[in-house]
Amino acid sequence: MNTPILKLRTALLVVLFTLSSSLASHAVAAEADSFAFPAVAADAPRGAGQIALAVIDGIEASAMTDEQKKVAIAEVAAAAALANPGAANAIGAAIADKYPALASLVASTIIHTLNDTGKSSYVSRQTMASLTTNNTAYINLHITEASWDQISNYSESTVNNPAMTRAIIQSASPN
Amino acid sequence: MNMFRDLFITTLLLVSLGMPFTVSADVVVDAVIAAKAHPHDVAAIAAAAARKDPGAAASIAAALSREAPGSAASIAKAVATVAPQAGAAITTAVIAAVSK
Repeated sequence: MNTPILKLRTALLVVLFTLSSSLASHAVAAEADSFAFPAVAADAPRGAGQIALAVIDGIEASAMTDEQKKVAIAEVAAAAALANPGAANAIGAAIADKYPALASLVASTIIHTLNDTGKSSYVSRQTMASLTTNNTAYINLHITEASWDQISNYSESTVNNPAMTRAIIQSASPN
Repeated sequence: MNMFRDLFITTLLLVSLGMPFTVSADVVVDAVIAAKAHPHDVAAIAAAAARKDPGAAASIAAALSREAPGSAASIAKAVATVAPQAGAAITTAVIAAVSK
């Protein structure tokens, strides 16, 4: 074993590794420079609903498929509602207003998540009521205590089915 | 024999360099602070870091939102764009970060 040559080879490997690491760092910096993103005001709102909508905007702009986006958006709605159950009502309504086609999916996912985590049914009822009254173009119905009782009598899987939930609301509507 | 050993070590080194590496949220925050990055640039930096390590997307977004709460929404959006599968985790982490 020729020790000086071995040391030289080891030193060369260390230099190669250091240079590679340095190049990787520059690559990260270059990528940051090339990523264009619109600036926002320093006093931008940062409530749970606004954060959720911002994340949803990001998901919409991502490379996900439409089906993946639907699921991801519903999960974001549920996460925001779970992070601030007192604002679940407003969060669900804000998302449903912006994405009317997802109103039922958002409502059922929020309700399902809040119920699963032991949150009060009052919050769930308020969420559904908000979604149905604020998103009139899509559902055009008003939920009542009676219709909520009808919904809650069904199984969890039924409540988590958007089409079924919508049908129940329509059938229970005084209109 | 030495030639094979060198070839093995070099291959191992090149493979390890090609593997995705983890990005520490604290390191990203330190870099942003050290560079005195403009708040409007923080979102782009967060996205670049999350693209390198999607698994750390939520922690990166939360850490930077804590440092620049006025840009929390734009940070959340930029990170979600490059790591959409972490959308729920990003939402939870950023809301928690700006609520404290």
